[in-house]
Amino acid sequence: MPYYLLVHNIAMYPESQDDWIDQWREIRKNAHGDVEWVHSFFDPAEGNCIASGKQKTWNQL
Amino acid sequence: MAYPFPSDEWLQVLVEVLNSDERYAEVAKNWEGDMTVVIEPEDGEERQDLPVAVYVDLWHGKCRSSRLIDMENEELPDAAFTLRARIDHIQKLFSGQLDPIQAMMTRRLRVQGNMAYMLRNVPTVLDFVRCCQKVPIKE
Repeated sequence: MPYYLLVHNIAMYPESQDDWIDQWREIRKNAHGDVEWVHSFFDPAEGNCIASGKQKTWNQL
Repeated sequence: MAYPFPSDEWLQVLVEVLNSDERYAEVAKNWEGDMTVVIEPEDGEERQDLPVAVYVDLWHGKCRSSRLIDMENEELPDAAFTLRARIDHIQKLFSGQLDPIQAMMTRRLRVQGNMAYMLRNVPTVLDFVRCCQKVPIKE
């Protein structure tokens, strides 16, 4: 199983949960292969979100 | 000591945790918004005690009030956020087996309310769940 680290800046906050899920679906298209989203790490200072594939902690990256 | 979930005892201990946890007080210092969590039975399961709702009024790192809502006899409050989930999913959330963001992403946790506000305050959301995880649930 390949590991992915997907990093993105939040350009626009979605209004609803459905919008948010749709937004994520688009982001995930940037990753190749069958990515299973597991965890997100947020940087509240910068508003960045780092989403990862299989790994659950930074130490496993 | 473990507490039955959902129950008044569990909720009372959660409020004590929220109001005494220094990390939550710091992380949630800007949060303004009450929340109702509707706990539903598992698919196909009939339970006399479900659905039930937990209401918490969260304000600047503290819980100002809370109550368990008997949905048969009381309407849900007009809270800033209303969350809905099956009890088994909530138990997984509170035991750390299910990530809160993943639960929302997969709609196992359904959210009504200002999603933008919630996403701007993800650390607060995660830390609220961390506090919930500090209250042991009786199996």
